Amino acid sequence: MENESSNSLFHKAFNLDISRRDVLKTGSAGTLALAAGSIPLPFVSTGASAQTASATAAEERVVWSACTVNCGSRCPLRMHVRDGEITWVETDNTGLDEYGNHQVRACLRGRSMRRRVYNPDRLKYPMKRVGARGEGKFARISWDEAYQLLADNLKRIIAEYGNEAVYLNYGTGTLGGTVTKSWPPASSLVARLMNLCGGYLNHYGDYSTAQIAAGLNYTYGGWAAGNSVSDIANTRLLVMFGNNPAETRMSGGGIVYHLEEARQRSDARMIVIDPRYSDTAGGREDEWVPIRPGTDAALVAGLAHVLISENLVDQPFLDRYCVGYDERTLPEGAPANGHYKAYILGDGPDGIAKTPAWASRITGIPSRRIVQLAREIGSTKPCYIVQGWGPQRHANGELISRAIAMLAILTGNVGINGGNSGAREGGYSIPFERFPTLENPVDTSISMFTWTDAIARGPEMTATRDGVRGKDKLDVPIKFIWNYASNCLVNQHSEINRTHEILSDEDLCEMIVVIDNHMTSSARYADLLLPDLTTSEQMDFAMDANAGNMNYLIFADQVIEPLFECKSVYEMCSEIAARMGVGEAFTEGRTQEEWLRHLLAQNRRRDPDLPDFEAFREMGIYKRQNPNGFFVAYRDFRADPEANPLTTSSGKIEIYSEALAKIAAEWELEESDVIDPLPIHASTFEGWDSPDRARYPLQLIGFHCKSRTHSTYGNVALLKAAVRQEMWINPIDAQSRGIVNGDSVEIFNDRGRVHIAAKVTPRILPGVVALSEGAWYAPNRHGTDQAGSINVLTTQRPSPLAKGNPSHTNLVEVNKA
Amino acid sequence: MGWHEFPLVVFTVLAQCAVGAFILLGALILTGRLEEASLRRLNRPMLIIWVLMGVAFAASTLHLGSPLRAPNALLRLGGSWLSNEIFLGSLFFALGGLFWLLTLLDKVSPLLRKVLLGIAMLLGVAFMYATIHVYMIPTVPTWNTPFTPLGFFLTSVMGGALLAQLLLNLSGQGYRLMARLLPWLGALAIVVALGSSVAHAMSLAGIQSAIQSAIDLVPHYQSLLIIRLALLAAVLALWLFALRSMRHQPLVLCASFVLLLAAEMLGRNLFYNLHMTAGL
Amino acid sequence: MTQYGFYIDSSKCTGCKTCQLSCKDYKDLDVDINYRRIYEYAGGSWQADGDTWQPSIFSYYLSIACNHCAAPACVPVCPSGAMHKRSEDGLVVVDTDTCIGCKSCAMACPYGAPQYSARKGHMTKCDGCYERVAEGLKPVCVESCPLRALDFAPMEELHERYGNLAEVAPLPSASLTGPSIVIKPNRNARPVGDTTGSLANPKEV
Ligand SMILES: Nc1nc2c(c(=O)[nH]1)N[C@H]1C(S)=C(S)[C@@H](COP(=O)(O)OP(=O)(O)OC[C@H]3O[C@@H](n4cnc5c(=O)[nH]c(N)nc54)[C@H](O)[C@@H]3O)O[C@H]1N2
Ligand SMILES: Nc1nc2c(c(=O)[nH]1)N[C@H]1C(S)=C(S)[C@@H](COP(=O)(O)OP(=O)(O)OC[C@H]3O[C@@H](n4cnc5c(=O)[nH]c(N)nc54)[C@H](O)[C@@H]3O)O[C@H]1N2
Ligand code: SF4
Ligand code: SF4
Ligand code: SF4
Ligand code: SF4
Ligand code: SF4
Ligand SMILES: [Mo]
Repeated sequence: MENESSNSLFHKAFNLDISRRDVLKTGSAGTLALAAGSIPLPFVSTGASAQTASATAAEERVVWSACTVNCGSRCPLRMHVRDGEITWVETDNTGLDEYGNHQVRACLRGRSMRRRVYNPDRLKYPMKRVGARGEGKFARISWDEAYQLLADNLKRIIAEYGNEAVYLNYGTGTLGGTVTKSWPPASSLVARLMNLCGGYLNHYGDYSTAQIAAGLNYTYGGWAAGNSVSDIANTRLLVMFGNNPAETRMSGGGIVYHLEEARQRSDARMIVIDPRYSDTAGGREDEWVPIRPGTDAALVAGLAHVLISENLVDQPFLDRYCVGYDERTLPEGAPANGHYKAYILGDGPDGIAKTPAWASRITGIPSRRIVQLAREIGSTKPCYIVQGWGPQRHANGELISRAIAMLAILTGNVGINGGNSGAREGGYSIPFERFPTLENPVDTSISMFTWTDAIARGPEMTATRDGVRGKDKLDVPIKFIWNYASNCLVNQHSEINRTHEILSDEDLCEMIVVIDNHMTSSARYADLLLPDLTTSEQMDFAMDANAGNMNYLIFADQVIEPLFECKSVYEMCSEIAARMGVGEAFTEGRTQEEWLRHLLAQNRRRDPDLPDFEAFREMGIYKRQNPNGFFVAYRDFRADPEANPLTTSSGKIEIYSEALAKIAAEWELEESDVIDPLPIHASTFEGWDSPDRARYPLQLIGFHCKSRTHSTYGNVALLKAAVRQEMWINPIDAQSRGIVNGDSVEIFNDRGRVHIAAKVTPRILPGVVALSEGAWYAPNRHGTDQAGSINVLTTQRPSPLAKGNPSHTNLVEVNKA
Repeated sequence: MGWHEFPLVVFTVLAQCAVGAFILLGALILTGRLEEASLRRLNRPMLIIWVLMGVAFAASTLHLGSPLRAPNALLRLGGSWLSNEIFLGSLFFALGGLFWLLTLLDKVSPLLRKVLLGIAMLLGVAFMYATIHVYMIPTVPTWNTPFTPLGFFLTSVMGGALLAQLLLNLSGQGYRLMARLLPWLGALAIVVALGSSVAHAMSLAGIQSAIQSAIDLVPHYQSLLIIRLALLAAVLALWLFALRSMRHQPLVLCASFVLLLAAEMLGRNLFYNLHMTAGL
Repeated sequence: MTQYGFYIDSSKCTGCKTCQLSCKDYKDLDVDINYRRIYEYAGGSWQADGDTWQPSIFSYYLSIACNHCAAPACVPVCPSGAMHKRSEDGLVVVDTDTCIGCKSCAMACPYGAPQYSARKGHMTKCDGCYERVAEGLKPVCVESCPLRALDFAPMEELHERYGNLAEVAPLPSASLTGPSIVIKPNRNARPVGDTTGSLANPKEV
């Protein structure tokens, strides 16, 4: 990749035109001065004086913008602009920065936004594919041609296969926007457009939370809420399962900051359970408990054994609020001894007592530690038990997510201040009505993870085998893909080599439209490539941060003129809508800015405290504290479960789920796939105890890293150098393979090969290696990735219940390259 | 092993050889035992010393990021050893060169020229002293050791003696007392160099910061050191051989000197590669 | 003279590198130049016990720029006087119009602070954002830290508020240059001179 550092950045990528114009304007004297400026003369440098001269020539403006990527945080950026060019990026510097009314400070990525906007990889014009699909050969076309090509194909495919052959791929590139919002795709402008044209094939679930969303849906009903992270100020013990806000909620107004501040107030002990010694731990933890990937449910079972046998469970809570803990609340239809207590004590169908010794063999955690941990959790109230999404992004993730929640349930920590549901930390958000995207006339839905299958074998996919919803089976395969602000077409979807094979066959999926800012690996597979504006080049409102007790809305103003021929997604969709004959219905006669004014006005009618458009624009960020104090998940349910039942079928917390029992009985599952009415521990394919470990002895997990948001920012050279892409490996595993820190290694399994440098570090459990997701896939001639792109090694085999991505369940071997 | 400090390698090694030779030959001249004709015969090949000094200084500017600003290097004269080094080196170059020119043109009185020669010799010593101090940086534990002055001094003695021998030889003054002493001096210096290099290499084991150890700085340090020591042994062998067979003496001495430059540049490059600070 | 300096809270620092990148953006630095560097120091070992593992390991981060030392190693070696300690604020700054690019300062500094820019032909280094400081602002890196792990103030104030610690591994002994920093050590911090750990990210600093 080209180096986009300072000078080359502006000159090479775009400002050629500008500087040429400047030179013409200032004439030959200016040119000479410019040339002289680059030669260091003796004694003095003219470079500096030239700089000050231009500094006074053009005044610097500051414009509020935002970083709208999918990192779970959201940050305002104060763009310093001179001569129509972003010179540097500041962030929220307003107020006195007191906790509760603090500054929302961007992370390293947001501070590098300039290098993403002015990146040599920027898409400049609409292009159509001329080579084979994926080859990356394109020809420049006009916008008119592009719109026409798109509309013609869309019409043709709808006519030929119906609307269910049109798919909006999962994509989170700009989910923090309002007009530009790409996620959930159903809330995007593309969805509005398609809904006006007869609809499209839906998807459910997401790459982030497929298993936990599906699993805890059966425990709590719907999306499981969590106490505000700020509520850690009220707890005495904090237990984190695979949760790493220091790298995954990095904003200085986001979870990591709240965690730090809240803990300072409560001085609560913190226990971090993670195969990696994460940056969240990093000396702030009181105890790090390294665990074998995919075995959290076994740990919880071992803990539960101690809690139950030492009488540390909250029996009144279990009796009143839960279903299936013991025989007292076991539903009618359930088998005798089908309850949780029986499962733990060894009275269930497997007859195995889930003793600490049993759990210790599976998890790799000494029994003594499990006993201590259980006693500490059982005797410290309130206790904030929280899981990140690492534990659930496994092949048995549905069970694991439910098991972790069990710990909060057994100890009665649900619905109280300083406690938690065992789900991910929650917070407060300012209600804000978004761009209306209308109703999808199509009901049919697939799991977001199974779209490659839906291309390759769509009509074979059924409800009970493949999780098709809304219909017993798919009628048509996917023939048309909208891929807006998504790199899930290739980079972020599992098993890249299989994806490549499926997409390469142009007879399968007939049209792929990619709308992006950069030439990503997904963009290379486009048939039609539409260059979008970045957040800096248009006006929008940004929101949707995970931000504890104080949330905010950002006025992301237009900072610079659109670069090259890039156009906004609003303009693109409007033009396509016009060609599809629904132009007026799409725009309702408004421009993008008019929509924003309209949306704000509407929201102000509901919520008069919101500032008006001009005031909002001026202040840049509008902050608000949760008017109800700390958000406590299921507080009302706890207060009065009869008046405020959950949305589970029993209205209670379902430890034993009849619905799951039914699914387990009816669905066709692959060998070794487990769906169970109880949150049990189950082995999986490519787990720690899989026979495949004979060939591929190392468990490979992914993680989300600080230098990128998934793949976004992954092409910024400064960030690549600041946080190098490396595979973590324990010195014990490294030594037996002759690998030293910094060595280039090959990671491989049957699905592919990756070359990358090794980080030999004691910060990871022996037997486990870790590679952060999101590096830009870069295959060499033999198809071996050279960038450390983990999805070359992951599988497209979905998890049993959610049909979600088991991204962190992989077996590999590693050799010195 | 990197060669990123090659300009400094060239500068220090050549300057040290040149100064060493100048002082040795200067001592011969100062004894007053050279009659006018032999003095003038010796003076001509001494041009080589100034060529070496010229190359050394030219190389040193290549080390600078802004060579055109080189004069700024004198701004902290008295305060910075690098300023002192450049200043004293230039003065040595200028006065020594003046002495050479005056001798060549036979201008001013011989006494005055001797005074000039004496001053130039002292400047040469001061120049060498300053060079040593440039590298005796308290925060650089691998340099701030007695091996730095010793190593620089030995380069001056070995290189100076061999170069002086070559120049004497070129001027046809091979049978003088000085010329008979030089190989002994050279041999002694080379033996000390062999011993001290080994001692130096062993001393590195004790130098480390929290993040690096001196012994890890240069991969294959020992092999490279052995190559240097072998080169020095070859230098000595050729030198002694040259003195026995009078036939191709200048050529063989020349070859020996080239080998010596190679050995010392290799050694000096090892020295620069041993840079580390007491910290990060 | 007021001597300004940095407070570095290594107990809060998550190694996120926002300070480094915000500086690089503000100062428009090339890829290989880091005025602020985040050192990861890690070590320790694992004991196997049957099927289980017991770690005794540590790691922590230290965000270090230039320490604007009381007795800077970089200033006395500089032949041009370009590297100088400002009398008004004690900040150590390169006069880029004078610097000849001899790299002596970089060789002497035990913190890796001066970094030579081949493109610019002169030495570059953290200047403490002295222009901002003169306007009453804090340096960009300090204002950027999401964890509020950095501060910048006159040294007396820092000493009063945060104590006097100016050295922990892998930094050199503070007695060498008298760095104008106050460190709040991480719980994992090892004392200066420790060699049980190693620099975990040598290519990132
Ligand atoms: N192996 C493995 N794979 C994973 C994961 C894992 O943990 N392991 N994590 C999964 C998860 S949780 C997620 S959410 C997904 C994320 O996967 P994606 O949603 O694909 O996220 P990104 O990789 O950030 O890609 C977003 C795309 O949007 C583009 N983009 C950014 N801003 C804009 C804009 O303003 N306009 C337009 N048009 N485009 C823009 C970017 O250039 C990029 O191509 O990845 C998943 N993939
Ligand atoms: N910087 C940055 N921030 C991000 C993102 C990003 O790409 N970059 N992506 C955002 C998005 S879309 C999402 S979905 C979230 C993802 O947030 P998460 O899913 O929570 O993040 P991960 O890093 O995948 O996993 C969290 C931790 O789980 C650990 N882990 C893995 N397997 C197991 C296990 O079996 N058991 C236990 N106990 N721990 C395990 C990992 O080592 C890691 O430290 O992050 C968001 N934030
Ligand atoms: S990536 Fe996330 S945390 Fe970082 S600046 Fe953007 S929104 Fe904020
Ligand atoms: S910004 Fe703050 S938390 Fe992040 S590396 Fe720098 S000092 Fe540490
Ligand atoms: S940290 Fe280094 S560069 Fe900065 S003042 Fe101290 S010695 Fe000089
Ligand atoms: S590089 Fe510049 S600032 Fe550093 S010592 Fe040399 S002249 Fe001084
Ligand atoms: S003080 Fe200024 S120059 Fe120094 S590291 Fe911080 S931002 Fe960079
Ligand atoms: Mo995600």
